[in-house]
Amino acid sequence: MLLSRSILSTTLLAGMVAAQVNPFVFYPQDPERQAVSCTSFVGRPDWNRAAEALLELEQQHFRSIGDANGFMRIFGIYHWIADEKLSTSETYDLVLRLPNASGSGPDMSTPGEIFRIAALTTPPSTNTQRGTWIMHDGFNIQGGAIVPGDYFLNTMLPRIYVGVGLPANPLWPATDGHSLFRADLLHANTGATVGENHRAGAPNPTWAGLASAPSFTTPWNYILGPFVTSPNLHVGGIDPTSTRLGLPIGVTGANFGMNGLFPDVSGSPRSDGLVLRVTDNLAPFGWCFFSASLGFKPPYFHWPMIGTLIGYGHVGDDGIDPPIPLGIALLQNGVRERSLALPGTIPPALVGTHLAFQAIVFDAVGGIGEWTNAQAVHF
Amino acid sequence: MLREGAVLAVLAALTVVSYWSQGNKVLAPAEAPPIAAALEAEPATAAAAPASAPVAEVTAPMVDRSHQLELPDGTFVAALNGATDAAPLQQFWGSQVPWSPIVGVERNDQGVDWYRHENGSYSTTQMVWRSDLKRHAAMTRVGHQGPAVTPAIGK
Repeated sequence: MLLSRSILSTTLLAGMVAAQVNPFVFYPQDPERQAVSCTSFVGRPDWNRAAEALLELEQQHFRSIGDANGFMRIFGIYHWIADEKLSTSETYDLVLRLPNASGSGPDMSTPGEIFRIAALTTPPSTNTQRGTWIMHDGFNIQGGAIVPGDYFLNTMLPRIYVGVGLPANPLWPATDGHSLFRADLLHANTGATVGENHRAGAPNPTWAGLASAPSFTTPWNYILGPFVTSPNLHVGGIDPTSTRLGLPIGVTGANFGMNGLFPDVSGSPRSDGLVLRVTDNLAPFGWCFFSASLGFKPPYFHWPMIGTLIGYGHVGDDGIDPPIPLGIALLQNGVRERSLALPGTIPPALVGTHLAFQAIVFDAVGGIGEWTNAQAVHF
Repeated sequence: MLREGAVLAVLAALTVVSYWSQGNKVLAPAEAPPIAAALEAEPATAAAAPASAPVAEVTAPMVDRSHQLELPDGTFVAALNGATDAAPLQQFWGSQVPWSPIVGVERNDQGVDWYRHENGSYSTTQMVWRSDLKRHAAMTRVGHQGPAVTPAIGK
């Protein structure tokens, strides 16, 4: 059954003209379309020791990232690099991991690797100074990596881990070696003046994956994520009292990382606003249908729309418990934002509740609609 | 109706799978192509037959593109580092970076050849071992220059 569904979905997806892919990045700003001013530092998961920088994609927070009609397919990994000496190429691995058996953290064993692509290198350069690379490492569409687990069979894994493996490099940071762009959480205790901006109690979103010692969480997000062919949805938190985005005084922006997932609406003193942001490189001028629900609903597939609507809904679209429509808009050059709540308008009584948001992007030219990922908001 | 559709889809899938199983044979890594040859872009379509040729004989030859890389402008260059069936460069160039023509081939100190683009970006193809697929498969890779100012090192 799974095989036949996989073949069916593969056929449908292979028929799509996927001239582009979307990087799913969980970071305060959109590194593809916004000037990134929120980067706290560049760093490695475990100083200059060998470790994997892993983003945890947790089902309590995100669903249907890269949904290929029930299961997840990814087409490579996107990330930003800082190299202390550009003239010597750096080496890294791409990794996708299963969760460990204890239910917390990545499975760092070899069987825990969904895939590992070893020893990729950065481009050549004659520059002996520090510098940066934005790396797009992609598979062809037929070579997408299928992640175990399926919404149809109710076997979706609770979380998976995607990232890059960095070899040990004693030269870093003094003379050589490379690191990743990161936005530190408020409780990182690193002295960061810009970065993530979330409510109290938010968990660390990333891990340092270690092979010979226990892995541990890291209090920052990286500019790093999987390439997918489904559209992306992020929720942004707006805190007018914050300068964590590094924007000029008087300019208030939305933080699409931890502030959207864990906004502070306690009223003491913060009362964050919310905004939705849908991005899509595949249908950059498509119609966008925003919707919401009170928490995630059971995954639902529109069988009558098979072939014209890709992916599963998670906001209650089964006709019994319908989603809350939030409006229709056209994407403009691959992006559309929709304001949900101005700062100071969400009542503190909602603390402890959970919302979920998802959208459909419909490409009128190709006649194909596709669910974005769904994202939770934990007040 | 649904069953018929599913059967047709499965048949189509088998055709696709069959095609790719033929096309994805692992080849021995080739020598790095000479720069001039690698840079010799080819048009996307085969040359048309002379106008005077009989219509029945106008049969465009099947062009094997498996060792080539399709560029966003529709032309082709040699795939680097012995890659076979690499994804078109447009797929991973990024939608927000204007296309920039190739101006040279450079090899990094790890022995990997890269195309250098006019804007300072680099792109390449290479075969990698895919543990999930249990075979080698092509990657299409792009490195764009990031921010001019590199952030400070964090603890």
